[in-house]
Amino acid sequence: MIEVKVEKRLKDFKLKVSFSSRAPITAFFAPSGSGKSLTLQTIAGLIKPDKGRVEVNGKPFFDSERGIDLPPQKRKVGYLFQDYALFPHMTVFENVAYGARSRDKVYELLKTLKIEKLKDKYPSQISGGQKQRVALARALATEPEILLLDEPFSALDRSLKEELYGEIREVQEKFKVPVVLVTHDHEELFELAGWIVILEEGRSVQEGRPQELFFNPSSLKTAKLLGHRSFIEATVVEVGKSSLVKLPSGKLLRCRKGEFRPGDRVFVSILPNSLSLSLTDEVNRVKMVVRRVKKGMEIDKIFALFEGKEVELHLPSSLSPNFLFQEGRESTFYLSVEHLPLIRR
Amino acid sequence: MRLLVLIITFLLLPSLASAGEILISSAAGMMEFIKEVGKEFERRTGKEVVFNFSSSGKIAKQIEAGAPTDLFISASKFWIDYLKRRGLIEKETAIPFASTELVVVAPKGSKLNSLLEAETVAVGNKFAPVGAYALESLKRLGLYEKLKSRLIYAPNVRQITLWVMSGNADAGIIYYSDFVKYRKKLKPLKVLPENSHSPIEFFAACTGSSLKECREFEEFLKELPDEVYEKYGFKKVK
Amino acid sequence: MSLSPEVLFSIKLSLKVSLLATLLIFLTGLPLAYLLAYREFKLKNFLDALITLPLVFPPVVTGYILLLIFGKKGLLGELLFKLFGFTVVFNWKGALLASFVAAFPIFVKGARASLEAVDRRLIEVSYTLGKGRIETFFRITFPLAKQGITASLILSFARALGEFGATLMVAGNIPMRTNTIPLEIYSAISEGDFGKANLLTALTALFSVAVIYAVNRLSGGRKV
Repeated sequence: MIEVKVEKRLKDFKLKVSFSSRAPITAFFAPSGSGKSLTLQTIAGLIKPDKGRVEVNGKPFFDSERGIDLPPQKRKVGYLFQDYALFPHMTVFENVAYGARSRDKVYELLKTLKIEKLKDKYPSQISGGQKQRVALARALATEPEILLLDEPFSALDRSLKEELYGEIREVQEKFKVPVVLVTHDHEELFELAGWIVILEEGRSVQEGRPQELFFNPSSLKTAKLLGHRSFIEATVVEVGKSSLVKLPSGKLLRCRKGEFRPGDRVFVSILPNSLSLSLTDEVNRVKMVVRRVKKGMEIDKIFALFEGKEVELHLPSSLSPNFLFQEGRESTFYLSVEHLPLIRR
Repeated sequence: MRLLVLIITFLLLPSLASAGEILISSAAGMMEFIKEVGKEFERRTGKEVVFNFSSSGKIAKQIEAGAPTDLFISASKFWIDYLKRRGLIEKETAIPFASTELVVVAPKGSKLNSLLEAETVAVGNKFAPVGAYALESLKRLGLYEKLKSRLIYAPNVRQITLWVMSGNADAGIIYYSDFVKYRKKLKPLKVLPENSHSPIEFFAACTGSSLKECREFEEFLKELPDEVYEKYGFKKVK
Repeated sequence: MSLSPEVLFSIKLSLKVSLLATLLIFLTGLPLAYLLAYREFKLKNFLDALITLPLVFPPVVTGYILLLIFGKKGLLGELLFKLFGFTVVFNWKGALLASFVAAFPIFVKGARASLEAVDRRLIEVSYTLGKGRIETFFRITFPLAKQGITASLILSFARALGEFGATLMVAGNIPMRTNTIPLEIYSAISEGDFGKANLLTALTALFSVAVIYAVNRLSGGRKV
């Protein structure tokens, strides 16, 4: 349980972040330089906000109105820096033991994180993935109230990442410690997070569950950030179980339900995975001219012209032989209503 | 580029003794006196005078190393002889022209009456002329043994004066000509008897370059009225 | 070549003065370097400039200023003398003071740079792991800056050992009382005793080479 509502004015940057999450793992999602790390630092007490409130598990860390400002030492926050910031002059064991309650705890953590064998090595002698486990163990050794991870996987390769996702989840469940992580990687986001906070230029612009957020981005910018690729301008005609919109050509398209009223000007986001296999109730039947097909190992990417704009659609490679998409030819596509979210414009 | 050449030329200019110019390297103790005399000389003759002040020993070494100097003013005969031996000065131009005395000084406002009451006495060390004369005098006056443990040695007059002025030394022995410069901060106690030490004479000597101008300047020194010397604490050597 | 009592005395005095000066510099300079490296306070730049002055001034000027402050009639000197009957002029304490002041900025500058070079995040991690400033300093910051701090300390020791101008001004050049190695060399040269001057110069040179070697080893050594 974490609640944050802080403001901080820096030299040429203004931080204004508020969110509240009960999820086991909360993710800050934003491009680099949008104040994610800064927000973590205000939670950890390394930076003092100008005003606001930070509360973790019902414990106030900072409250400008009540004059509360716990020093970092008293917050019991496990902070993992991007490149782990292990103490270079200490062995793995000494690193983990640095803030530990007891030696037993150290051994338990070394075991849980499978780094017992490394205990006498120095940080310069171990790999990136190992460093991260050590940093995790060191943070957990203090039995923290919360774990803050600043882009924990950015320096690791993909297979290692997936292994570590599992570990983070395990750790989270085993130690029942809420985790806040900072990322600009979609995979991490949807793989791990139970709650997402989107930051843009120092401001929190939207928060919510991953699914909810993904299908209801509050702006075009957010949508792009979340991985939406193709947008068509439209006007809402009818609302109900789904939304009916009018496209520039005058054609009608049935889209995902949203908080809209007839006459609202919107963007239809054609999600790459909106291709459906057959015509059912929840599907639109549209014709588009295929421009290019890019074959891939897992998915084929089809670029087609729709309403004068190029849209990107993905199709599992295994299904591709069932469809005849030839470059330069008009084809029929079935677009799933649920995968055509609307964005206010 | 042209500017650079101009600047360099400009910087080099004073060091290149041109015709009608005279470069004087003088013992620092004569600085004020020689500056005034130099100005007067310039006014009278229209010739330019350029100065270089340092300790006599350093100047002698500079001349030995080939530094351009027309006239050397030394605070001791030793360095004149030193250069003479090396054939670096025109023998007949080496003349004593001014003398001064040794004076015991105390800080202004000091209650000290005699040298023997002082706990610390600053003197020049035996390598500085001012120290050599002072030690000679103290020995001849029979004061050296009594004061030996209270003597603090300095490498030059400036240092002695500083120690006395700041009250760190109770007394000091310096040239009368130096006392004149610092009289506002010093109290004179006693002039040491002239016969207690070798004569303290300042010498002028020409090195041979710009010999005509140099001789002219020496003549000018000899013809100066006594008052000019006395103003700076010197006596004219007749 | 036998060592005259003056030479032996100057070696002993120099070691005593410079070692003591270095110890005092370490004890007072390290907290100052810490403040300059990590804290923001009013007059920080002024303080920094003030301690840098001895690096900029000719040593004689430093000595002159010290004489004005610590002399018998100086601002502090008079007070010290009245309170403790204690003076630094014309005795070995003057040499200590001169060496201290001349070598102090070298240590503080170096130590500050070494402290600033320590990854700020390591210190922050230590805080989040529940450790206070003092424990963090002794277990993280200091061990990581130790090489640079030691190198600065050795350099400042060398500077203290070589101090001449200010020492001459404050302590005077008194045989068997205040003449440190540099003063003894100076006297020997003035006296024309080149044997003595050469011996002491060789000793100093030998020592300097050892210092440079030590500093290079420390700063170029194993990077953890």
